[in-house]
Amino acid sequence: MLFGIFTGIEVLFFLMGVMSTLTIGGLIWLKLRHELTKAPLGLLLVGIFTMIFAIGWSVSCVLEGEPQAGSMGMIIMFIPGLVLTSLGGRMAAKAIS
Amino acid sequence: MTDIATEFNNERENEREFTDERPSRLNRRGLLKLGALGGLAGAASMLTAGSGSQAYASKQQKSDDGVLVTEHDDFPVEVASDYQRFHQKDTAFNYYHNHVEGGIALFPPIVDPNKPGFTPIDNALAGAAWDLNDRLNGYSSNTGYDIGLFNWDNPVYPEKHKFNSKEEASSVIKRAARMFGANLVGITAQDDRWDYASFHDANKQETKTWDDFPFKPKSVIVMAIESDYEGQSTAPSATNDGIIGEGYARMAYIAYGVASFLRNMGYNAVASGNDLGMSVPYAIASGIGEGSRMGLLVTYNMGPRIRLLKVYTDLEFVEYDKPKTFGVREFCERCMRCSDACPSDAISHDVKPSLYPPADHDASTNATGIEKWWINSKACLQYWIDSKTNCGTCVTACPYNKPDFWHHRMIEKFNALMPGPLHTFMREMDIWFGFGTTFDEKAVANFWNPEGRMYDGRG
Repeated sequence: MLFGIFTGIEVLFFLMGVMSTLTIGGLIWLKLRHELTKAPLGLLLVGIFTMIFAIGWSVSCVLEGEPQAGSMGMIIMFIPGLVLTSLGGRMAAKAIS
Repeated sequence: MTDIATEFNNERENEREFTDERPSRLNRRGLLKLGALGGLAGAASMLTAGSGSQAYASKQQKSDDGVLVTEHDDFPVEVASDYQRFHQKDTAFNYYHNHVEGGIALFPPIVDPNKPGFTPIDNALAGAAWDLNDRLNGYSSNTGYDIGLFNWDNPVYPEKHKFNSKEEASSVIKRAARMFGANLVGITAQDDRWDYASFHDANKQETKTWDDFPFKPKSVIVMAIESDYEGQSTAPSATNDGIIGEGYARMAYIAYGVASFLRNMGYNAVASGNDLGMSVPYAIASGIGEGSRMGLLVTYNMGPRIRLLKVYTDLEFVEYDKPKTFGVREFCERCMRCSDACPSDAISHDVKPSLYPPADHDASTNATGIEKWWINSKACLQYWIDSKTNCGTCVTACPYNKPDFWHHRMIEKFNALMPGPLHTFMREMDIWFGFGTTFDEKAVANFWNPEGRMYDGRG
């Protein structure tokens, strides 16, 4: 428990909410400030949310006592999300520059 | 208090020996996740267009929540017109009691004191749990009837309470059941097909019929209680036997509480475990789960990691639940993890269930004429005897056996949407992700591991 108040799953979903909000805010900022096209924005959106989902999955697996499922979640979901985010980030950086 | 009520209470005293009702809908976390994953669900729906599972579901009436749980007006499993009622003496438990020396009395199950799951500590756990069960209901659950808390004759308050509506009666009973400790509760009409045609006490070699029962039941309240996930993961072991015995003890405790609650409102009621009738079809009829390949009930949020208990009552003015399905049958057709894991090869590998057993199947301890996968229950119990455990390997291996966490509920929802080939993929992923491992000595260590556990209320 965090501070003896919040359970692990409550902290997890709060942090996922924070990450999702920052992601959406960042993508809106990129769209408005740099007028990015749909391709890099879409890749970033899908990639980051895949990673957030993977974090949610893996932390939940550890919390329920199934660490192998958590590790597999990072491999199966987080890495593809990271690849998509990297691709989107490179496209965005190229467009901005 | 009236004289009659005082008399009733006195009689009851002399004879005494000893969460919020939540409908089958997504809970708060599930709603959050479903909202976030709405887009994915839509994509998955497109994938399933024309799939077998959708065609099956489309014949049925959608439930109120409209999300992948299908309600049925009739019993959702085919039953043959020539279906014959089953007798309690034909159960595998009775078979072994009558045909094998020592029956299935296993404890203490000393196998190897140095083997994880069979140490003196594990054996003590199993012995204590079954001792508790024996104190509460003896051998009534498997080879008897009218024993302990499952007794038939109890005082009934002489004035019947009048409920304002069937819905109120149902709600009150379910809330009381939840208070006594039931995780799931469903109510259905009494059905001769699922009641034993006769009862048999293997110890006394005594047989009775429903004519000997103290009243004519009209309704059956079916309840499910959860078994410990970490303990179940140790199967087969003495550790898991402790989980099973503890579950059987709670069955009697909760069923008796609910039955007594009804008796206190003036209705006849008798608690029941595995006696009186077959729990799985009653549980299906009462809408708390679906049948599965291994013959056990699979519930929505706890899978097969449950124990079933019943209360027979003559209360008729009560709202009955509808049977519900959520894709278990379709998943079982391709999964077969229980069949593969079964150490006695007792679970069918046939793709489809059938009304009657294959020609080479010994069905003397099975109810026939109902569509299901066939279990060699004699081989199953023989392994119990050989391994000196209550096994439970199939329950551990089942992909529906998961802790009640959001990501499992989400996967199970998608399973109901997915076409068959993806079920095979999901089964493989379940293995890769490390779920459902049986004969797992690490699971025993994990069960007893003190790390991360606080017993003073802080975590």
